[in-house]
This record gives sequence, structure tokens and C-alpha cells, in this order.
Amino acid sequence: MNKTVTTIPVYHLPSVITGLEFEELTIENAHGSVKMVSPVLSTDLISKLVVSVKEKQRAYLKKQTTAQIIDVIGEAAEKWTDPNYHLRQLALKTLPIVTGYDASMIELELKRFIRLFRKKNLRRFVQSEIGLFGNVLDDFQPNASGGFSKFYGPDLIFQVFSGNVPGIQLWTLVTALLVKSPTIGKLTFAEAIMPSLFVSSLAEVDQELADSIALVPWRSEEGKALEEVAIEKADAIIVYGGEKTVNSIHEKVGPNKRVLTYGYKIGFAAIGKEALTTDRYPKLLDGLAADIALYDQQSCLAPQSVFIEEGGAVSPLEFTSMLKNALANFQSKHPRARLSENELMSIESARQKAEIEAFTGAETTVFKIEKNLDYTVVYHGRVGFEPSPLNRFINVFAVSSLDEILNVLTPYAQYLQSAGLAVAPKRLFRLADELGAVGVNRIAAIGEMNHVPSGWHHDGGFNLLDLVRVTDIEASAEYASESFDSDVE
Amino acid sequence: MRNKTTEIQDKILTFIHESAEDTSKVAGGGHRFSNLALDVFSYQFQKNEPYRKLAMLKGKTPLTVRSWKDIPLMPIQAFKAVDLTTVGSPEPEDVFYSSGTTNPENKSKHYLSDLTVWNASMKVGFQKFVMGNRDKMTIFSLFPGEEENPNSSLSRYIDTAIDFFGTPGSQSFVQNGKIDYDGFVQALESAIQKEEEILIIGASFSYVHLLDWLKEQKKNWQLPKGSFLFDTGGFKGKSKEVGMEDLYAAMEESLGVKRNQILNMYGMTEISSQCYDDAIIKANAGEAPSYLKQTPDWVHVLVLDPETMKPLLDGEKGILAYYDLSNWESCVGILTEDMAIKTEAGFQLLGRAKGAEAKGCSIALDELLKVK
Repeated sequence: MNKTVTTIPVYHLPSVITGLEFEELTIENAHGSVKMVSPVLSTDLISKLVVSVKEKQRAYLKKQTTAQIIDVIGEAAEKWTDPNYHLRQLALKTLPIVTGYDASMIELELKRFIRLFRKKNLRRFVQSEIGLFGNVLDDFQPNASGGFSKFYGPDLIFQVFSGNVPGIQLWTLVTALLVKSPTIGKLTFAEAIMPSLFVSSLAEVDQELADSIALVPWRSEEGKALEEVAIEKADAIIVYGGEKTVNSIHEKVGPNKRVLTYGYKIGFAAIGKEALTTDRYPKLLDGLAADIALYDQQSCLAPQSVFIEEGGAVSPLEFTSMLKNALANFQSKHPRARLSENELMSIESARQKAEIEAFTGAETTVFKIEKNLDYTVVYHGRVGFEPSPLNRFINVFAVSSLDEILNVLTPYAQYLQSAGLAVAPKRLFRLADELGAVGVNRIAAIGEMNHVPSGWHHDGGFNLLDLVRVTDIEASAEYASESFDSDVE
Repeated sequence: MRNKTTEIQDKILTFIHESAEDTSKVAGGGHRFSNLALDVFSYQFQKNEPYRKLAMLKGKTPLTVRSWKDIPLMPIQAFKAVDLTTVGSPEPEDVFYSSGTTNPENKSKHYLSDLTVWNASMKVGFQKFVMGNRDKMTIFSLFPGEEENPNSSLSRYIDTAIDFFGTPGSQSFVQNGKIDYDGFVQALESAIQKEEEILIIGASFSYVHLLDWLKEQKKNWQLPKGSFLFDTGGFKGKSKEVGMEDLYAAMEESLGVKRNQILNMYGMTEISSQCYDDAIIKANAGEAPSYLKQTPDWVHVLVLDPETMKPLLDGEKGILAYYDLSNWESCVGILTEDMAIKTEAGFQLLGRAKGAEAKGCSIALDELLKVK
């Protein structure tokens, strides 16, 4: 056991804010010990942060071109691709202790994730959503109706982050920068490390740009007053989190502000019989196990149910039994995080439910590790859909045709998000269309469910477009202005 | 078949009655309990098909199970999903339904074709942990009796207590789902005047209602010396949530009792025995109670690690597993959903295990059940 305590700041303040008091929170477990330092907060401080980041936006950020902003973010991201970069090393040392996730899994996932913020990928991201490489955020650009348009981001975005997946916060931090908006961010102590460190990297590249961001952690139940100040001052609010968090923000915000929410979502995987040939299925098994086990299913991108079509070289039951082994392999490489009592009870209770089904005659079989709750696979010999208690617990349903799954998905329409599909091209588009109609907004390959490309549509919405407002110079104004040229003939 | 049924009942009855005479007679290092538990399991393995299937699923048969601790545990949820009975097509003398604490449409069912063992278990336990040296007490119940509330194991329990241990004035004061306060006050005040030792029996939420009413009426009493309040249940989605210690403090104040005059009972529809804390036993012995739950001799408990389902050491928190010989008609081993800590002096209940919430955008099963 590592006895040394690593101290880490879990906040980012604009450089003009000084003279604060700080408090410490120490997390200690079998992986080591981390002392997280963050400022003592008050509503006054939040107000000061608001003034400071807004001022920096007016004085600096809004004058940068999108291309310049992309350069800064891209340069910061490149730092993180270097294994020797001091902040990357600090993150990899502290994240396993704070989140409980397996260290080698975090390392692997984080380096893949950070590459999404390379310059080339950011350019693709902006281009795919806004076009014109984002020039429309810099200046009025000719539009299709004969006039000119310019996009403006909100004057202040309040972001409420969650801590289920390390680094997930970077998406909207970067989005805010790209639309040239300052951010006040509420971090959660569950994972305040990555956003804080990444903004430090931005500061290493461009201090002024980083000064348009303030990130501080507080506990939701203790920080109602802080939250109220931030909501009052913000023009737009971005919320990650469960139903309770999202609803409470909606209630406080009222109807006149823009709120983007990334709330409850469920993923699933579907495997067609054509993918279950003897040469193809082993790869699928490993991919599916990774989809289920990465970040212990805490990401909404992960599958909670799997549908397997009958008629392949291996039967759904055989595949399921081998899936248990694949999860066992994953567990030996990347052990599941230590869980809270409530999480364990939730798994235990779902296992019991499945076992009761198994001995009361339903076509259910439970494949699990007997000695503990590391992973559980429940096989159902009929179509159905079951959300999981998470933490590597998966329900597998045998179906005679993948067409059967649409009906069972419909009741969950509002929660559907990612689908991992393994089907031949002929079926891909038809099935994607049918799933899209039911509410699915992302189709990925099995094995890639937890990995989104830059330019993806988060929860089926737009990232930049959903934040901006547009000012049009209509053709009439443009023509009329010609007549007011003192030199007009 | 009938013989087998009678034989197993007789063994259990003998055990319970010998325990009533002298605990040391049946203690015997736990061997007698273990052997009888294995007999009961073996009997149930033959006659209770779902239990047999569960045991097979766990790779356990009467041949491989060597100690009561190895007997497979039926998850308490299963009493909702399936008929767990050794009597085949049940023409039961009684069926107990749970009050459907989490989902009103989904109630546990506990079939009993013969109440002999249930009655013996109730009476011997009640005598020891509630009555002590007394033969009769004035029992007032704030929970409905069987006529008002058929198929409730608690109502049957209370009726049995009143019939067997109550003085002639003993009764339940719940009618048409409401506490008959006028009747209760009259009976209580008359008993107080006569300085009778009174035993008030209620579920936790009954006391919440009573205390609310007393507050409204600006009333309080001083119960006669030797009186006890008997509480059971805790709060499961009924009435307003109150912490147990807060409730007990309010009971002490309004009813003029001391903390060691309040007894808590742990029981449930799916089992045929009850556990009590040591408030009365210790009061009778002039000692300070630990308030830890005591098991009657025909019940053993284990506290299991939720991660591994292996028994924990004393003092560690886990899930309570309940082994009850008097549950001879369904399952001798029951896995409860209650968290507990066990010590040599008894076990402490720490409430129902809660479901988990996801950490972020993913939705966990328990939350989805809440929002749907």
C-alpha cells in the first residue's frame, strides 16, 4: 500500500482571483491516498467568479477566432498524449484512488479519449456541426437566404458536472470555449480531477483563455445558495446527472433560460446471426465484454441488455456462457471498482430476482462468479428488456429475429441512447432506421460502444448548435445599406 | 406422507417445548439445532419444488449440506413470485399475506396447512421475551386483529397474544382501519386507575398516529409500573418517516414510560418465529438492556457479506440470513433484505438495504423502477 499522500487541486480559478481560503478532503483506500484541495466557497465568491470570467470573455475570448481557440485546445490535448506530461501522470496517479476504477483501464481509456481533442478532430467537430470551420462564430458569413449570419454563444454557461466517467466533462468545457462562452462549473468530488487538470493545461498554453473558466467543487445538498447564484447569472445551463439533479435544476431555472441536460440513458447491444459464425464470434465476445465492463457500466454509452439472434453457428445460450468467461478475463485484467453497500445490494437483489426466475420455470439461466459480485450474466430464453444494476451486470435475451426487439424497447424510448450492432450491411440501415424511430440516437460497433467519435451527437442533440443564437443581416438591410453609402451614385 | 409431516412437526414441537422448559436442554453446542435444521431442509427438499430447484442451482442437496450454515437461503423476494409450500396444492389452515410494503400489488404469501408449530413458536417466544414470570397482562392493541385484518401474520400474532396472555379486558382498538381512540382512552384510563400492568402492542406507525392524536388532544399518561410498550415494524412506506429513536423518545414522554419499558419485536410474514430485544428480560432481572435482538433457540441467524455472501465476523455489517426451524412448511433458510450487525449478545437491525443510484448519466435499475 502506498502511504504517500498526493495533493491535488480540484478546482480552476481565473488568475485574478486570489487571497482565498482552501479546504482539504482526503480519500484513502487500498490504492493510496489523495488530498483534494478546493477553495472555501461563498455566494460572494461565486459572484466574483462570474464577473471575472465574463470580463475575460468580453476582453479576450470573444476576440479570438474559432481557429485560434481550436489551436489552444489542440495544443493542450497534445500535451496529454505525452506519457511523461506531468499533469497526465498526476491524473493517472490520483484517478484510480478517487474513482476506484482500475488504473490500467483508466490509462488506456484516457489516452484514447484525449485524442478526440486533437486539432484535427476539433476541426472535424466544428465543421460537422457548424460548417465554414466555425467562421460563422467569428464574423457575419453569407447565408443561403441572401443575407449574412453570425452565431453567438451564451454570455455565461453554468455547467453541472457528474463524475461517473473520468474526463467526460471535457466535452462541454470544450464546447463552451468553441462558442466563445465563459463557464462557471460545479464539479463533483467524485471526479473533479480531469476537468481541473485539463483547464490547467489550457492555462499553460493560453492563460487568458483559461481565465474564462472557473471550476469549483461543492456538494449539491450543501450548495443550494451557490447554485442559485450561478443559475441566476447564467444564460445557459448544462447539466449532467440523474433524474433528481436534472429535475431540480429545471425547477430552479424557469422557462427563459436554455438548459441542456445529459440525464438518464440506457444502451444495449444486438447481435445478428450472421455475426455468430465460428470465425467471427470470438472477437465479438471480447468486444462485448469490454463494452459491458469499461468504467463498470457507469457510462450511459454502455449496454445494459444484449439481444442475440438464434440461427448462428453458436446459439444465444452458448454465446452467453462464453460471455461470462470473457467478463472473467476482463476482470482479471481490469478488476471492477470497489462498490458501496447499496451498489452491492442492488446487484445481489437483481441476482436473486434472476435466480427466482430460474427456479420458477422461466427460461432464465444465471451465469456469475460464485465467490463474489464481480460480474453477472443473466440469460433469458425469450425476448425482453431489463435495465441493469450496473457494475458489470448484463441481461442477455435470445430472440428468433432482431425484429422482435423494437416492441420491447418502445416503453423505454425516452431513455434509449446507444446501440451496439453486429449485423450485415443489408440489415444495418434498415435496423438503424427502425431503432432511430424508437429513440435510439447512436449506433456503434460492438466493442466500441464506450468510444464516441468527435462530432457525435450527444444524446441525439447538437453540441454547438444547441448553445448558439443567431443574428441575421437580412438581404434587405444589406441592399438598403448600399443606398446610404455617401459615395453611392 | 402424513406420517412424515407429523414426524417433522413433532420433532420441532419437542424442541420448542424443551427450550421453554430449559434452554440448556436444547442448546447442546448447537448440534441439536443443526441436526434438526438438516432434517427440516431434507424434508423441504423433497416436498417444496421451488426450494429444491434453488438448492440444486446452488449445488446443494441434503447429501452435501452438513451444517445448518450450509442450508441454501431462499431470497425473501421469492415469497412474492412463487408458492413456497411443502403441502402441495394448498388447502391451508391459513395463508399469511404481507402488507405489500414495497409494491402493493405484489404481496408475499406464506402458506400454513397446520398452525400447531406456529402457535408453539409464538407462545413460547412471547412467554420468555414479553411475559417473563407473568401469566396474564392487560393487553391493548393498536394494530387490527384477525377479524379486521385477515391473512395478516401480525394480526394473528396479536389475537393469539390477547387470547392466551391477555386479561379479560384485553383487546384490539382498531376498527374499520382506524384506531378507536375513545374506546382506547376509556380502557386505558380505567386500567391506569386500577394500576394494572398494561402491555400496549402496536406497529411503529400505530404509535405515530397515537402520538399525533395525543398531541392534538394535549393529553399524556403515566402508565402504571411494570407496563410495557411493544413495538414492531419500523417504517416501510407507511405514515410519515420518523427515526425510531425519535419515536421512542416521544413515546416515553407522552405515555410516561422509560426507554427500557419499550420492547421491539422483529418478525415478518415469511417466517414463523419472532425475535425480541432484551428490554423486558433485562428489566425483570434488574439489568440494563442492550436492546439487541435475541433469537429463540429454534432460530439461528448469520450476517453475510453482501459481496461474497459468506458469513461475516461479529461486529461487521451485512445482510441478515434467518434460519428458522418453525418454518417447516416452506423454507428453513431465508435471506432477508435487512442489514444487521451480530454480536455475542444479539443482533442489531440497521434497516432495509437500499438500492443504488448510478453515478452519472447512466440509469441504474432501482432508479428506473422509481421513475417508471
